[in-house]
Amino acid sequence: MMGFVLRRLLMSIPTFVIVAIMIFALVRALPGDAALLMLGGNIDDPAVLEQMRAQMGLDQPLPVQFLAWLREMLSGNLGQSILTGQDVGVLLWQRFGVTASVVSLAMLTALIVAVPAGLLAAHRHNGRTDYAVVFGSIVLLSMPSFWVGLMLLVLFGAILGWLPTIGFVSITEDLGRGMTYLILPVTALALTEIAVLTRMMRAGSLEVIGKDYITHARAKGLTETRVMWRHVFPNAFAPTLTMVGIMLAGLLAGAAVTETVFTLPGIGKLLVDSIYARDYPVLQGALLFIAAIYVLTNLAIDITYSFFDPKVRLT
Amino acid sequence: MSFAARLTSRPNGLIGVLLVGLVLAVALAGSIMTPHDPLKSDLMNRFGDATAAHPLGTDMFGRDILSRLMRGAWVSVSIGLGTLVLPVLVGTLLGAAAGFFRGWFDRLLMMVLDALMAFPGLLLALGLMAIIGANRWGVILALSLAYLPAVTRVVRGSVLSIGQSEFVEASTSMGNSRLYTLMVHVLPNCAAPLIVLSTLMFGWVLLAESALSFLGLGVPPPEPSWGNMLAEAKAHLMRHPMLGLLPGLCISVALLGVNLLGDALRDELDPKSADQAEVI
Amino acid sequence: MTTRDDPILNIAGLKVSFGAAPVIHGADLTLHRGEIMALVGESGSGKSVLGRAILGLLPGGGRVSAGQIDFDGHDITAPDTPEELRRLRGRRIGMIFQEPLTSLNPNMRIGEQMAEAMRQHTDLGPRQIRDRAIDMLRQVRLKDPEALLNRFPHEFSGGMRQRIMIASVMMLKPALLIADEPTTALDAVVQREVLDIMADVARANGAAVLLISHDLAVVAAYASRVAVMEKGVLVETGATADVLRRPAHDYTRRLLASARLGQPAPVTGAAGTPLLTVEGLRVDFTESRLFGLLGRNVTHAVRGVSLDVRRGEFVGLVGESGSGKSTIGRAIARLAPKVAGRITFDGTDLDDCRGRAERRLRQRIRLVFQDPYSSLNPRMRIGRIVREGLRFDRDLSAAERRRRSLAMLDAVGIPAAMADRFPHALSGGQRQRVAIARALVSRPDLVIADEPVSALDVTIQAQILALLKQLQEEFGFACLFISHDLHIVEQLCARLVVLHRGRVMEQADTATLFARPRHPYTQRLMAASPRLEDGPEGLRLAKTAPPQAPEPGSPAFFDAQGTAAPYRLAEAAPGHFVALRGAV
Repeated sequence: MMGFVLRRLLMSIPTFVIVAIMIFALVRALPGDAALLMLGGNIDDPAVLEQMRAQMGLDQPLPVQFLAWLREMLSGNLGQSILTGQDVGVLLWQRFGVTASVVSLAMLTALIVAVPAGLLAAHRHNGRTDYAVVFGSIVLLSMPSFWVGLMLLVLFGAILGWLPTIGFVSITEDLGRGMTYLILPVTALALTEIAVLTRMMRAGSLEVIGKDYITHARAKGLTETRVMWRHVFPNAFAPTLTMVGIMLAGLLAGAAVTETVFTLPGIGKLLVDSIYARDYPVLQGALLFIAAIYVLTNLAIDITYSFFDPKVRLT
Repeated sequence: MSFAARLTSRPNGLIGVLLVGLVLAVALAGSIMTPHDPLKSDLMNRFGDATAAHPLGTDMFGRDILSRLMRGAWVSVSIGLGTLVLPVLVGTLLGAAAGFFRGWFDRLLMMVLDALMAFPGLLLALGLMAIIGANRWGVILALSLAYLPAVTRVVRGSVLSIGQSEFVEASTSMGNSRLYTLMVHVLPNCAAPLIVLSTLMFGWVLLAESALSFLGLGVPPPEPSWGNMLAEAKAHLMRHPMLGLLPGLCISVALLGVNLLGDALRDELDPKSADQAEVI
Repeated sequence: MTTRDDPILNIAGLKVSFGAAPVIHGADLTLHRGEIMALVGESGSGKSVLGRAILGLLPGGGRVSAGQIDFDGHDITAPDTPEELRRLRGRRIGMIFQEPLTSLNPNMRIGEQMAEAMRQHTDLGPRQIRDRAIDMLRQVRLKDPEALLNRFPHEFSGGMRQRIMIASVMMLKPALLIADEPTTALDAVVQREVLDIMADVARANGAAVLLISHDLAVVAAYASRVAVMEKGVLVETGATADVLRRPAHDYTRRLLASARLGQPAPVTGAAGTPLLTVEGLRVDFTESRLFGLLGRNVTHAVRGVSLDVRRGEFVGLVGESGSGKSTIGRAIARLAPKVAGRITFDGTDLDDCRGRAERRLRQRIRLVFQDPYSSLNPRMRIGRIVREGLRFDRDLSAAERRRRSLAMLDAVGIPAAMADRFPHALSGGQRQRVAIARALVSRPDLVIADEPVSALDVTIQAQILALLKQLQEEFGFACLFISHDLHIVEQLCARLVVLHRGRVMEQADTATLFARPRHPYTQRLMAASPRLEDGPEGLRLAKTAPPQAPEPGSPAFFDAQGTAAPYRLAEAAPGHFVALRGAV
């Protein structure tokens, strides 16, 4: 077990390094003088520019620059926003709360709906329920979540007037009012997730149901409920769980669109705004942050997963 | 029974083929001629209702919505098809080389691909758009790079599993070179998963392009794309919801067709491959 | 065997179909309490479907279209409630499946898998259930049952899993046990053990057994009656001895003919220098963990094997799974890298062959693989598959290649009209014929045949073996015939090499080995592979010599359990080598 955790930790190091190289390359590839870009473009004082150049080590060879840059990043010094002058690390951390609550609520909702739906469809394979679930999920899958979000806003915000259409109140300030701002974005994101996870869960369950040990469980005279929840579910959920990890990166990126639609002050909105505003320290920080979240979450999922897989647990 | 007949005998295959055919036909029509000039504004006729001349009405600049949707179909479909070229060619090459020759190249490539997984298509495209700038070719390039890993992984995976087959060993045992074995015995058997993936990828690209355009980082106005039509409609949605409903419906119908067709193709060609969904 | 008169199971006029396709056309079967009955048939005969139908668990799309299954007064085909059927399953009718590796839930501890059915069907408390489980695990002769309850299936070998399965199913003392090919996936020695245990436990608990199998010889020893099934029809039912002695149906006769010991027709080669010599061959498989940073796992697949094959001779390489037999074949064909040893073919060291010489060599050594479904490229037509075998005969014209490949297809019994078909349009036996044609089209001197018939039904096996013999007479090639089945290699091979865990245990000419097996491992292997033979009154089960206690003063045999012990191969009689313990 410890061996597995250690191995998994070691394996994520090269991933981290390559991610860092790619972001470094991306920022260096931006058109224009890197130091000038980092300062926002309009610098009257050449001394400030020179100081930035020296700080970024632009006179050094690229590998040296990279290592210096990496050291800065790892020590948490992500630079200052050109727009507001705020520390990027602090800014990211503030905005992350909003994104995390939307994404995790959406994922949770999706799991609660998708797991039973997928199991049920697999259990009624080729029956009417199955067709309904399959068709329903492919329709949901085909609707872009940002469009669904817009339409939800029109329906519940403008036509019915039930929920606020613009602005944001944090749930830490006012739980009740905060929730009213989260319902629509969470729903919009969750609908797509439900579609993906239901399909995964159904396919996984169908595969497991075809296995001898399920026929054996039925041949033992177990009730269908027990067969589905005790034998099919644990074996079919593992691939779905891995999928949840992979989807997370997609969700964080998708948050860029959803947060723009709902004007939520999250990481995604920050990222998009930083592109508009050419606020490169923020862009670089946000990319790095999202990638790091992705790598860490998948690390956590793999290790959690190993607790449920007897083969890994014992090695 | 022929392949086409088997495909369309499945309900999802039939609906998928019909919807994809419809979208392609509209896109083709939109590239040649539209009822009105999709770019020509008519400020006297803003937010016009549906009339015989403008069956779907006009938008905030008085432009004909039907014409814009048709031209938008062409823009989306051409970006979608254009984006398939590079990943399929390069991805097949990289995946085949990694899967068949293994060794350090394979390990290095897999590490890079693992790291790339941390950037889903849309995120990578967002980062790249910051460099390239928002235009049609930028979208194609950014999305091509974003989906290259998916093709590489799928081809590598099928090359690896086909490489285990006894008929590949048989080829080696008869003295055939590795390159010959790869070209004659391995790659033709990778076609099925690649076709399925390309179909699904076409859908991902449609979705990603509309999201990028919606954010203003894709196809720049006034050239219509379904995504930037939605973006332009956003400010007027509360009073004119139809402006947002129509482009979104177009995206959904196109995606539904592609997804149904992809499912049917997978059931028919490649029943074993797992559902490799990717979501923006 | 005690048999009471009222039957526990009565099947009348049963018809089962999948969609519109009928799979069972009418089966009548009666099984008495405490009786063991064998249900024998080839793949696709519907025997497994019949077994599933008795539990009311037909796989997706299957349904009973006519007839009745009466189990102890319950009508399975028309139960009063679905609940009635569920209560019978497990409690009154137990089932054991073929594949021990997939029939236990990988995510559940053994103890829980054994207990859950007890909880479902009885009111026993956890303590009592645990005691029953431990008692059952003792009955199937597993050591340390208490600890075993807390472990997961993947920690056990196939044979042990199948014993756990028997314990778990018999724990509820069902009146009927359906065993669907329960030991087909196991090695011969283990197969024998598991069947013995199953029969003992069933007898001890008074259960009737329906033993479904493709191998009449294996189940004949256990069953008092036999039912034979062909293409969905039960063609014959009767007492085992009667069916063996006087088969009434034509299909039963054919089945028996292919299952019995034919007259061995060994292919003896020419004297003189051997065509192929293998000396001290060692093959390791290395699996590096995380690029070697965490060390590597090394498996010694072949630990120093020497053998030779003469020109035109068939040599059998016999062993259980994991014995290294296939690896030896692959090493000779240079598909597996050797760590040590020398392989000489027709006077040339294989290590010296590079480039063109290697290609020429590969035209002279050809392979036939086990699985005809995976050894032919599904996207290539039959004709081209065979023609590819001539790719390096540069001086042949395209027309000549075509002519030769069609002639070779004809020689293996595939009409030229089929040359334009893809492999999926062919049956398993036909595919194996194509694979043989591909191997022989370049007129090789040596064919390495790796389990060439074990994926095929018995009647087809006999045809392919006859074909190989006939082709050998025509083309004169030598063959290294790799198989797990002693009786198959006995048919054609002049000499046999018995392998165990990467080492040669015994080597002799076939007749000598069967008459006087010396090594205990060879004896165990023979005892575990029953075959039918001609007796004074028709067929009967062949008697195998019981393992003999070593004679006093005889040298200690090398035992593969202690692989670290010194090993040497000693010549016990001219040409008869036996593995002994001790330094050379």
